[in-house]
Amino acid sequence: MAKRLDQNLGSRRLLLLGIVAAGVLALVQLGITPGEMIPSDASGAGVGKFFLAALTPATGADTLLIAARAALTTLRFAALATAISVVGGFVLGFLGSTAWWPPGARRNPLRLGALVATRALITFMRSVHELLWAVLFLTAIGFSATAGVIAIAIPFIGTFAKIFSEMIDEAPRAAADALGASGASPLRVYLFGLLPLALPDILAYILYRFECALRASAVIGFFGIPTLGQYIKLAFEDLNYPVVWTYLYMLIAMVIIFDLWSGSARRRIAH
Amino acid sequence: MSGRSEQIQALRKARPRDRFLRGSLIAVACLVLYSLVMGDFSFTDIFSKQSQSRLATFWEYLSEKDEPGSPRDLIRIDLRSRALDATMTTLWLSIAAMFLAGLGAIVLSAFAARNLATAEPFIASQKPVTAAKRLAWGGVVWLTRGFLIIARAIPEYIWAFLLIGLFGLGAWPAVLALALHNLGILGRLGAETVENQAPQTPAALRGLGASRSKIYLTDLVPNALPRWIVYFFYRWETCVREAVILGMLGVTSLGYYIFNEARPRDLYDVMLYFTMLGVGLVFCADLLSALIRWRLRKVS
Amino acid sequence: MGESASHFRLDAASVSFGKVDALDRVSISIDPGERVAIVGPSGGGKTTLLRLLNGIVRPSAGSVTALGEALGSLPAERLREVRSRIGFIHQHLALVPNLRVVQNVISGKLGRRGLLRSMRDFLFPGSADLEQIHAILERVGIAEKLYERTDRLSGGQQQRVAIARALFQEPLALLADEPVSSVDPARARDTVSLLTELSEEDGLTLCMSLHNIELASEFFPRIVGLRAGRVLFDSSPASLEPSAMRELFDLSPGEALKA
Repeated sequence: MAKRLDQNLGSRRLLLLGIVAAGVLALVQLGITPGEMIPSDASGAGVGKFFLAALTPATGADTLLIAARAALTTLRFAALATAISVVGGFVLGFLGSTAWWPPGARRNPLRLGALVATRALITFMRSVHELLWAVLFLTAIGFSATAGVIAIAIPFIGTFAKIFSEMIDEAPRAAADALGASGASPLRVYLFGLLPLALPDILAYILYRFECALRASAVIGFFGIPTLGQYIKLAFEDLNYPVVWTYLYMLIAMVIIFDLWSGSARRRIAH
Repeated sequence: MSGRSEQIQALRKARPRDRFLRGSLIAVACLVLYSLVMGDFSFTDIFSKQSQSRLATFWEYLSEKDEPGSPRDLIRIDLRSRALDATMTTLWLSIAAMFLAGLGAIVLSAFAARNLATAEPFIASQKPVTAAKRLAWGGVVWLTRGFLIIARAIPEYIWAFLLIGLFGLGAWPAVLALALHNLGILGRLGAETVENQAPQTPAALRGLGASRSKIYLTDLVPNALPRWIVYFFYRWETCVREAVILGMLGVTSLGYYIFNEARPRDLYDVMLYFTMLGVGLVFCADLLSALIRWRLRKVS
Repeated sequence: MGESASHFRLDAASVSFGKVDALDRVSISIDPGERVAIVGPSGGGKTTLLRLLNGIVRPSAGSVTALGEALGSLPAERLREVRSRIGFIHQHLALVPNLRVVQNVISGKLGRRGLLRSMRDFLFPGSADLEQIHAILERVGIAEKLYERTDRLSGGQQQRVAIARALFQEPLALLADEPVSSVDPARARDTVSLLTELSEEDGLTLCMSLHNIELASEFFPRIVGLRAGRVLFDSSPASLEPSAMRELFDLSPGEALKA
């Protein structure tokens, strides 16, 4: 027991050392010196001016109206993207899971092939950032609001499918076994014995992803969609810092409100 | 048995329902419907004539075969030669950023943890505590958490856009942007972990007169580390993905070559090449992260 | 014909998990409508025996017949049909805690209903089902909890939900695995009494595993003593000799370490 504890601490210490070493190495490789970290006089003034403007965001009625409208657009995009990814995630997560297979199906090469293909697809979808999907769409078929939503949805579907199957696999099996004992088929056991148990965690994860979608929708504004990102970009390029901060505060407010709401919802779901 | 069906109806009406959750569900459903109906989404416009012709052009460029030695081909070869460089830069960006975020989080979690950053941590103090002192500690927590929320609410890309605009192009503003956002996330998660810890040992230490920093460093941090390390690696996986696309702002990670070099020149095969490199890098990072987390679980 | 008249039959059934012999050449025959108690110390194989009767566990040797069908050779679908006619009350209840009572009970018929019907059952249960479930809950004494969340109920009430789920299956037989170990002793008697009453009213075969031999003797006309996977006795309580009871629970030094 004492030996295991030692091993325990030992490998953790090793890991931490490794992280520190890697971090320092990375900084060196990137050519970042401590001196560089504090901006020099020339840009220093700009930096100072920018952060000082945080104290004086533009509060004119027209700016606030634009900010509010942009926030609503951001919210709409995020909601739609999340909704699409929840549906897609459930479907792919289901197809990529073996938990509902009838006994003996595991030996079927066709099924196994389909399973591996689905899992590969899920991994691929997850590995490309939503902005990169947006760039690919932009390049291949031109960009539009729809393309933007789909670009965000693709990696979200992938992540969602993965987490969804993991949560189902980790659900306690007692209820599922009982249903199987009373004659339910594996599919029914999956839908009514495993899924309900995993549902609270799945819902909590959906809320987390919705918040991520909010941010992704804001960023997609840099591509021309009228979400907060677009307005931040335009105002910044005009050097209109107070207005930039108005939009930033709007984004921050959205995140805070969302956080409070989802925290409350999460508590109530878990009881 | 009408008596029974009436009883059932009554029970059904009186069943425990969470109004908040119901209301939330309806609100979200309305929001989604509203978004669908709002008009700027039509799922058929992906298949429009415009898209099709654009796709045809894309395919043309993708399958072109240039004369070896032609300027275009030389550029293609040159860009491809930067592959390793771009990949490593992406990797270093993510590692440097997470390293700094982790350091910052260890410090800030202490000031955001309500059980530690308070006038009377864990046990009542001997001397009476002034209202001013309580207010001061409350302010500390409030400011720290406020900073963490701001850092977290603004996505990495936007931070990077702002910082590169202010600092000038370079690796540092990119690293700082990634680090800030992740600091916001790790700091908050870290504070939660500290707050959820059993108060017995810290209370005992405090009773013996230990300072807050001593309690933090000798008891709270070591106990929180296993969890923190898991969060750290989960965030690193995302950080690698973000580092790829920060290249679009000018930093020489994979995204730079995809968006700023290959795309403007219509070298779509190079674009896809670098995209797949990104996929490979992300895959390896995910694998490494899973491996480390698995080893840690085994050991503990 | 005589053989198919029995509801459950074990013929020299043995079950081994790796090196451990959970059951060793057990032979039992249970007739329709019989009430049998399986008693014995922990680890003696009672749960395994019950799970054999249901087909959840397969024997490593010997055969099992349930409701007239030889389980060993049944195709999966037929096996599911047989299982749907046997109500099993698990030791740890195995309910879905975050579902409402009505949903947990209605899941009893999952084995016999189509997929779409089952989905409807969970979201919008039909009135005929609701009335039947309400009636069953009335019989077990928790009718007013129809729409409560299952994890809000006390342990004893949750057990009644598990019993209700088994009854909703409209089974031919009830198997109860240590139903008194998850309730406090005061309720233990009530639980056993309830189950024997219900099975008598519906003419169900009842097979229950118990620690408590006094309870078993009080409510069951037939007791089977099981220890270390072997049947020590199989008779009515009246004809049991005191020495048999001692032998069942006596822990010799070697046995004490194993159990």
